[in-house]
Amino acid sequence: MKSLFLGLTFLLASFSGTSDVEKTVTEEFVCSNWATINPKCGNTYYLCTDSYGSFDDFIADVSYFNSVKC
Amino acid sequence: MNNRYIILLLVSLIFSKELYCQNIVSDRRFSPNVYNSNQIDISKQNVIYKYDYIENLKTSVRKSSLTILQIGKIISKFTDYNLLKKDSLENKFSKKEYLGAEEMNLIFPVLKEIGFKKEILRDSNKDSITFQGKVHSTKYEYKEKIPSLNWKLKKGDKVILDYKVKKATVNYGGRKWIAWYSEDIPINLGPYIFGNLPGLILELYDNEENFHFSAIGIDNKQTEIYKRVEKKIVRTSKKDFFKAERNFHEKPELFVRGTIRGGANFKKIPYNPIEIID
Repeated sequence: MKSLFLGLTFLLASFSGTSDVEKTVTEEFVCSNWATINPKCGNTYYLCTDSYGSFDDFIADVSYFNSVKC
Repeated sequence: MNNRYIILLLVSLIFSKELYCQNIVSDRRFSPNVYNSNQIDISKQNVIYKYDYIENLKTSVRKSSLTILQIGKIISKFTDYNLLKKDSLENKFSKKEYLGAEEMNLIFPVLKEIGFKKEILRDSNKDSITFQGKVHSTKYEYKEKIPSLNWKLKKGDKVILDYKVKKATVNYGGRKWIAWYSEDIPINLGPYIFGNLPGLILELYDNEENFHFSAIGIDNKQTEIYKRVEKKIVRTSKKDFFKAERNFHEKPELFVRGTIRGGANFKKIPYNPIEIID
């Protein structure tokens, strides 16, 4: 039953016409520092800053997420 | 109007501005980046162009920014006015002990205004053009020979900024371009890579109006023409640069490294390049 459900979900995603990839944060995900981003459009979101080695990488990701959120 | 109402109106305007401004709250501190640039010429003239463009062909919403053509003795530089502002901020940031929320909130309003995302350096002595541009967080550089454009001079004239201009058309980069140039300014340059006409291009657009540059001012201020020198720059070919740019727009999940609380949907970014390269 579970595999049938997963199969159907995959088929639906394949035919949806978009290439959205869901990146899920599991309950075990540990982050030592969440940045709160309030874009102009008001869709506040929280980005884990742990994986960034440089200011530029962080800024580039925020620019991308802002374009997605707004 | 009663003074009390005026004050109330002003206060509400200030608060509404605060409400809609980009804001980042974070304790994370980053080490500053090294900033290096070489002065390669000094401009004798600067032309400011308003740049209108369509990013998303599905919605056809027009966006705009300001671009600048710095004309030196040998080298000319064409870029977005806010890319110069960004460089200036990054230079200031490089002298700080660390970069945090304050710097993030200073740089974002500038980044948001950048419409033309490349820097183009044209060297008339070497007959070459150097392009620098970012794909997500990686900076690329490629070079090419100044293209020999096969302009067709057309009938028709009009006036831009009090200069009489003439019309010419050319096919370049998969698009048909229309230029209006002035023989009263005998400089064979213009926006992006365009030039080689008997006068400065004051207006340029493609026939589908995806990209439109219009001169809104010319000055004779002497300003530094510089080239950013970066250790981490990726030297590539024009074809591979456009390929990387297309990849980022179509599969951003391969470039983005962060994790959003609750999960993120990676959506394609609309892509409408100034040159159509297969």
